[in-house]
Amino acid sequence: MDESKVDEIVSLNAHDLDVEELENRLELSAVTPDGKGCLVYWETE
Amino acid sequence: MLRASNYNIYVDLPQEPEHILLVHGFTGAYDKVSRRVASYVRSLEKRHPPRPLFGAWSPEPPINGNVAEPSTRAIDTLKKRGYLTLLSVEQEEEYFAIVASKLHERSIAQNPNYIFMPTYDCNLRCSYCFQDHMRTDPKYQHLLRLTRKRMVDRIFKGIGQLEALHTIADSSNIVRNIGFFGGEPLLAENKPIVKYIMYKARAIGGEARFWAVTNGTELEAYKEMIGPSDIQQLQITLDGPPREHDKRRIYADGSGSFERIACNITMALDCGARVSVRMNVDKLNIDQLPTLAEAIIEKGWDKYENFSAYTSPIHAANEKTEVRTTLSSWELDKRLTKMRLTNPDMRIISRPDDGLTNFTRTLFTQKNEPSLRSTFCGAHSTMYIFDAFGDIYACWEKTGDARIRIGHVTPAGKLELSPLNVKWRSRTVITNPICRQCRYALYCGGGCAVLAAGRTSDDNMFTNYCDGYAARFRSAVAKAYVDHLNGVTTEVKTERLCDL
Repeated sequence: MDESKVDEIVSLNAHDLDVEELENRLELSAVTPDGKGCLVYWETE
Repeated sequence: MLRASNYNIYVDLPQEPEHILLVHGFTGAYDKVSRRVASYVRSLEKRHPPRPLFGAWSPEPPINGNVAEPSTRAIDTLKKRGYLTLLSVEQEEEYFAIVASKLHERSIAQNPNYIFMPTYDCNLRCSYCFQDHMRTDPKYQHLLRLTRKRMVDRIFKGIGQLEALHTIADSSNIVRNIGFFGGEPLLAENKPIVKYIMYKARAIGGEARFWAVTNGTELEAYKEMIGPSDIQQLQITLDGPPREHDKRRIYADGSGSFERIACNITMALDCGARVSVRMNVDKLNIDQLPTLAEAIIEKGWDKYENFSAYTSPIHAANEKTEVRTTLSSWELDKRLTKMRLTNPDMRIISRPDDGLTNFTRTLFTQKNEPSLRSTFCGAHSTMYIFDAFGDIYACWEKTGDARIRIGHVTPAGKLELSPLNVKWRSRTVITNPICRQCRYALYCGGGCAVLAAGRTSDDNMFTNYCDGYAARFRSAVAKAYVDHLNGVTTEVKTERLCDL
């Protein structure tokens, strides 16, 4: 293997899939600390 | 301290032994790295992944010798993509739980999907059917009645209230997916009520798309209702070539059903419906699949764009099915892969994981995002199944018993959802400790709840059902990568309505 490429990291899917992008995409800042703040399960009885 | 994420997946690439494909379990990143970089990441693993409750992970290869540290730039990229983290094991698990919760919040906010079960009755008596008791035990006779028109009216009143709960602002402008399931939904005698359900679905506005899981024996009665603008998708089961099928998919008098179904498949394809033929496979009929592939080719179905065929392992759902005769999805996948090597006709029958391979290949070719999921299927998010009694269920494998319904529509047309709705909709990958710590969880969704509950003594759905998923995932991703390198564009068509 070419030594100059030994540290190369080749992204195979979307290039912006990283932790920061995940937080933006999922709007994680809007989630309550227990992670359940936004969930609504319906029960009408 | 910097450490390897607990959600890293390491995929060996058979054609490139000097490289490893890193996949991250919640950022959705897929990266090819040198084996040396992968070894560096693995050397920072803090703990071995937890053992699944059922089955076993395949062992990770040992790390030999000293591991060289990659460049600062490479380490930064690994951190950015999630493979290396400064979070503690517990903090990362909490973070994972937040990500999964957010994904689930989005999932349950989607438009509802509806399934109508016009009747629990069926004209076939397949021995492995999970509803077998309904037709053979007189105590369930009362279940076999057909849905009445006034019940359909009642259900549609309930649908309006459901859509309000899902905060659909303009229900006249949505697309509704409406399925038919049974029993056998498309019996000839059911036609007037099926027609009425379709009429009502269109009358409330928006667009309605219809599909059905049918045995196909009486489909000729529905000819004018089948096609791209009516019932546009059909899943029909064939359990082998004619002789084998006719031993399994039998009428009450023991006679076979292959020829009638075959004629109706051709008719439905000619009408332009998408027909997905499902084969329920166990150790006793798997060797018949090449003969079935021959039969499919002989009928010319494989030439239709709208035709696909797939396999699904039979599960021991009643006492007539012996566990020793069943195959897991992973065993079935491997057996089919081997069969394809000696029988090219088998290419027309997709393996359980061809869908995953195809999807992953499109990630590579189209550079898009993986579809991460907090749950296994719609039973935990937006699926509502209505029967002839106005009862509502989350999963079609768990119907016909008012004690397990998630709600019902009262005679006055009022929707009532029970605490069981909350129970079904809250099963996610973070509601059991194994999935919470599993690197594959957001790809697998925790496995089928019915199969998971079936393996517990107290029918507890809040467990996992692994079904060899770790090995299946790595195999599918490696294959997708090879296909991508080889420029494979034609894909095995895979359309399935339920993985069970």
